[in-house]
Amino acid sequence: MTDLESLSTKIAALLLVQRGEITLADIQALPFVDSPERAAAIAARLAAAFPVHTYQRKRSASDATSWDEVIRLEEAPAHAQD
Amino acid sequence: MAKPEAPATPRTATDVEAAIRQQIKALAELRGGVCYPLLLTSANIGMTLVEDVYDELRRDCAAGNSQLDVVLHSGGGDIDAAYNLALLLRRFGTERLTFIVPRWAKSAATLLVCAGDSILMTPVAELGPVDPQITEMNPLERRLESFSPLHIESTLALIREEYKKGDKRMADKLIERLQFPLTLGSFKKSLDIGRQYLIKLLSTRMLKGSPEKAADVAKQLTEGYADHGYCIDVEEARAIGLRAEELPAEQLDVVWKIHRLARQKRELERARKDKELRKRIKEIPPELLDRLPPELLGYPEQGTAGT
Repeated sequence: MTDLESLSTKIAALLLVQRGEITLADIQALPFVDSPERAAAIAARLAAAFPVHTYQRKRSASDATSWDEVIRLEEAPAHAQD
Repeated sequence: MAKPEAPATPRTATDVEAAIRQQIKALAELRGGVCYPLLLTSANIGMTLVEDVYDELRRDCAAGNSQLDVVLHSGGGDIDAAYNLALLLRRFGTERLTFIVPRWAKSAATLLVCAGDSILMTPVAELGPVDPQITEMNPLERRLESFSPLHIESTLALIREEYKKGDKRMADKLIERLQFPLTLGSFKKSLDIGRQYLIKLLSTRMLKGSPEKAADVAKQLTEGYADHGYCIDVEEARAIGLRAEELPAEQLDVVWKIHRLARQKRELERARKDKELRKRIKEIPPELLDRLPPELLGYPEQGTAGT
């Protein structure tokens, strides 16, 4: 893992712990994450390091391209987004 | 052929979404039937997705229209969920089920397109091999690695070769790094799942009446390519026996517009997310660092220090 990948992974982990969940779109928007493959690798790293479950969530009913991949801590804090 | 119009430049994600909807409607009119977009730019195929799609199809196909065109963009996902989704889409596209691929339907999404009667592709659309990818932690480099069960056989051959050459030390070292035999066996078995699903789907619709051909295509898709990223374009798809065609010109223009708009939407959302994330990162309390597992912080893992 490069230093930049490692840094992005730490930020992603902090965001996951902060809210109890993080989406693949969040990871794709992080600094130094320049490809879907890199975002997927970070998501897999989080899934290996934390007790999480992954699911797909529709952002809004009227949206054609609005599925998010959500990585959620098994015991998410009460203020985590639904 | 008329020169395609330059991609529209709507301003906000909502505008882009409206433009996508408009193009989906135009495509449905051109083809006759229901056109369902499944553009997964930020999600994989998974079980909860199947439930959402079910809700939407119940709503959109209520009038009993049994000609369904699915515009699919996906990098893949869970193979069982993809099979489940395939069966669901078939229930709504009883008279016609076509998968339209603007750019990508890789891995488990390739299994999905094999559920249809035919596949329509742009000149740059890609399908991919259906060999499952296994992600494991590489303990030496402390990073995740993906590999295909197809590599197990070549690894065992390498070890055999080292023993044969008399380099027992090297062969022993390689054996030490291998997984528990039962785990290896289950990895190899995972290839069979993809092949079974493919045979079932292909032999009941796209290649109905040709079970041998269905089995050949399934074998090729699960074992016939050296790398999971291999690009299966429309020519290759046809060559291996899939019923794949290039989109007719008028439909191609619309489908490509949908793809470019979806990409534009992703970029706009990424910019919005970027702003939102900057704010969230500033709000992270420093004590949260204590809750990160040591391996993410780069500290030595327990029990491995000093070794």
